[in-house]
Amino acid sequence: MKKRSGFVLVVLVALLAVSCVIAVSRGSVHIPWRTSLLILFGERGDWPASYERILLGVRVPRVLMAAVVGGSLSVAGVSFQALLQNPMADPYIIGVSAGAALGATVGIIGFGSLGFKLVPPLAFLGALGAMTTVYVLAKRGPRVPVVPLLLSGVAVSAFLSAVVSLLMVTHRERLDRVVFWLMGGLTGASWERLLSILPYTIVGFCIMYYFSKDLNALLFGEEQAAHLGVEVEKVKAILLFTSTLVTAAAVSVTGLIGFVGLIVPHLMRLLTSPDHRILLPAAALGGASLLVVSDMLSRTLLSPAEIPVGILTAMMGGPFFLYLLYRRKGGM
Amino acid sequence: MAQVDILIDGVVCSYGSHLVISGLSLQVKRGDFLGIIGPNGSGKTTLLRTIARVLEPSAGRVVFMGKDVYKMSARELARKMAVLGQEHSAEYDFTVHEVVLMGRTPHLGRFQGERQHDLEVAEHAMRVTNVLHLKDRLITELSGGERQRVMIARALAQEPEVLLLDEPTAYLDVGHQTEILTIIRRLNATSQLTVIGVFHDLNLASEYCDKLVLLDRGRIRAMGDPFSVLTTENISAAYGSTAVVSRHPFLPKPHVLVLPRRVERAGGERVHLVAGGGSGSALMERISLRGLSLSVGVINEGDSDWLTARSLGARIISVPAFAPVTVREAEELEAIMIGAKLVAVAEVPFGHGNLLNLRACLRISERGIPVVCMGDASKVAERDYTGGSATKLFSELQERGTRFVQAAEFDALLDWIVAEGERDAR
Amino acid sequence: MKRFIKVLLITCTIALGLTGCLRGSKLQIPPAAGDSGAKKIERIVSMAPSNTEIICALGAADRLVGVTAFCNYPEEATLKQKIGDFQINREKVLELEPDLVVGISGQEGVAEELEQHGIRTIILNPADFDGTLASILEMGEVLGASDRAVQIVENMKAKRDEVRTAIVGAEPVSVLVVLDVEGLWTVGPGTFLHELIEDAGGRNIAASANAPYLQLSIETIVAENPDVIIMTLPGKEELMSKPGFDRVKAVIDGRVLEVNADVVSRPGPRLADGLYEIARVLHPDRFR
Repeated sequence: MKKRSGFVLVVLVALLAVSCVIAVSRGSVHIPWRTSLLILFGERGDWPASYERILLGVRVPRVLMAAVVGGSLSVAGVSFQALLQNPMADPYIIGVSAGAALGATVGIIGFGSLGFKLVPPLAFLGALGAMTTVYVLAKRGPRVPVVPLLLSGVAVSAFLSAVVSLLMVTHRERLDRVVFWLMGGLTGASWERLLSILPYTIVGFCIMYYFSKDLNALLFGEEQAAHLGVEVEKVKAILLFTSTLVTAAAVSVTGLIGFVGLIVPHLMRLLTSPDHRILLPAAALGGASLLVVSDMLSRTLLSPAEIPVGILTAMMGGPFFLYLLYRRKGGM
Repeated sequence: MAQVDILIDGVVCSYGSHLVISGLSLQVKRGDFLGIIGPNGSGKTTLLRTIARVLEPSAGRVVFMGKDVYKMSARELARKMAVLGQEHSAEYDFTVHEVVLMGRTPHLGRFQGERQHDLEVAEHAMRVTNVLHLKDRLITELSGGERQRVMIARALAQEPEVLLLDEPTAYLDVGHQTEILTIIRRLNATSQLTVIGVFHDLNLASEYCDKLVLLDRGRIRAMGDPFSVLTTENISAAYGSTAVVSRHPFLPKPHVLVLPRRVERAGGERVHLVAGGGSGSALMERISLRGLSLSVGVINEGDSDWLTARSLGARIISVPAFAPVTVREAEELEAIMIGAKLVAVAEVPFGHGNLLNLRACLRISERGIPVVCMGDASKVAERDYTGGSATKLFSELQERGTRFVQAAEFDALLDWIVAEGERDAR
Repeated sequence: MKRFIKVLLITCTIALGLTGCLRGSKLQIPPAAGDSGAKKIERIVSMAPSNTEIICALGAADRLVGVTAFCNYPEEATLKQKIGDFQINREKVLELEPDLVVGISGQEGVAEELEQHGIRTIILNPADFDGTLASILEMGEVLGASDRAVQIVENMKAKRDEVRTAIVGAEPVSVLVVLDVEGLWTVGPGTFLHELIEDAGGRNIAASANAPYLQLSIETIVAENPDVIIMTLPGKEELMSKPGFDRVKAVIDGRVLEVNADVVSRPGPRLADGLYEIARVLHPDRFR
């Protein structure tokens, strides 16, 4: 088991590297393979100057951001699933998506031509605000039990989504932009945005990894975890906020990219182990690869038009997940 | 004096305004095997969770080896105390080895991997609980009994001094129940592991525990060795059930037989049954289940039907074992039969010893009390050991309107009596 | 625990500080050589149909290298390379190496990104008919076609005056605009269509609304009883079969008319034609 998991991790690293290279060399503008590599290594040549701008200014940051966002959503999904002991949990389950959507919508429709600058910070604040509300509503004395957490998550999400819908109806002139934000995508990727979310991803991942043994114990239920020496409520509070921060950062720059945070954790559990010391890095790598490949397809399949990336993550991840599930059942 | 491991001092617990444990104090010594018993809602599990630092009491203290457990960290406590819960579903594909190694968590640093020592402890734990051969299997593939053994191994990997059990065998079959408890009992005996367990099954508690605490509505009703706790009086007071306490056939422990509780009906219609040799047990249960009163006789003491009748609290006219029915009992029998709504004769063999029962039936039927006989009229001769006297009496009964009925018809008659009684009551 | 929080705080501070530094020295490629005045604009990308129409009307169609999938007028514009639809494909824009990218309100984010790649951008954001004229003049200046721009603007003004003269003294006609039959969406103040209707001697029944786009209930429509219904998409039959519409004056009089949405809603050179078209629909007797 252990050995196999190590092997899978190595394969995942290689997979991510290959995905990134292919994703960088493919796009709506055709840049030959060799040229791409030469540009990446800083060579100069007689290709059009726009190639350098496209590659270094648009494609590389976009591919890297796909990797970072995919990894972020996946590790957040892993963490939420363990914390809530719920296989249906995803990073959006306790109000993060609805809060971010409200923040983004307010940014898009409320601030005229300045709105585009405010969308990421407002989405980020919206996500944090929604999650905090859910947390406070679910608090019972010193404890935050899972069921009230899930239920207040559903209620708060429903309320905020309704507000978003109301804003969309009353501001039809901006409807298409809100819809595109809700579908999510990496269109607006830039070095600046990439660097603005990277710290959250890195620090968040480290915190999660720090608690990976606690997450293992939590898979057996909160009391069991407490008996194994886990300070359940403390760990839960820290990790809920960490996961929310990681998710909120990703969502703030890409909108709501669905499916990755739900399915990649399951996919990686099937491929490696439920042990979070392996699962967390595996999910980070797997999620990154999935989103890099999905985004590449979203850019190229109907080029120059783009397919919303959420459609592709679901179309690629879903059947693969079912295949693994089926194979496992059949093999037993 | 043995060292005190756990001191529970004036603990009060409540869920909202509902008081679950009201001022409970208790001492557990090192190496004890203490069983906590009591009816549902008596606070057993609450008490255990309080000890396990999961449910902080609103008043009182739980002191473990001189320290208040609520002032210890979860990690510190987990190095000394392990908890084995009821069987829980395992949804994640950990291997048995991984699960057992999780027991080492409280002994390891955050980023520390398992050391050689930890692997040895885990291996020892798996050997003791007989799951070493399952080491590389997935926990999700195991049966309930195997999984519970793995959970014991995990608990043991914590190298605890105290093991708490929360009905660890609740969902297991009898074979696995004894297997699990025997493993724990052996650990208790060989390595001075203190065990505190909640038990639903009084006989399992009696068999495996040295000491029992009987809780009743959040208080201790009785505490001490099983013989002093498991008494008819205590059980009836705590559970409201009648119990027969006898000695375990092989162990120096009490054995409890809790008797079915009777469902008394207001009307109190009575059915009399002539039975013996086990022929009447099923009928008695059917009468009793409908809430009808039951009288039985005349019957020999010690007869299996006599035991059943006694356990059901029936009115019994008996003669000593192997003694024949005399005229005195026959008169008493008639007096009782007259008050019954129905007299039933089970498929009992008739000899000279109990022939008087049949004569009483005949006289009663002359006085208008309905009499039915179970079974087949044509097969009466097969159980007649009186040279034809019983057969003759049966045919006389038939002439006076007595019918032979099968089980279904008998049930219908009982239901009719119940219905009549309810109609009269209105 | 305390120690852990401290470590966490320090890490966060460092990480955020790092981003701050990098942001300060962001990877900005200097603007393309030469200013608008110095170098003639040779390669233009339009990010909206109205911009495309303006550019082509100014006679710069040959310099237009990229348009959106929605740019369907004039004919020659449809042959240009496509750079996206709702979303702009950054790579495609960069590949075309434009000297100028022209966007509209709502594309400020894309424009800023392109600026960072050294591409000059203009956002045209006209709010009404006069604003549209100003946009055309502005583009004319940028493209070095000011004379042409002035000519277009004069023509548009003349057409507007013609309409104004024609409808002097006419009874205002009440108008319902139906953008889509399914949801009965209509336009309120702040839209070009609203302005055109009011200018063409009509009275938009949604004039009192405080939103540019809104849904009207059938009850309101029946109560307002518009004289004319203007539809921007096909669906006349379906609309007329909706419950309650058989009592509406416009339906009874057969004055339900489909107009070309592009002409009446794009802030471009054809806006005056749109005005004329609507005025003709509202007051057929004044235009013979």
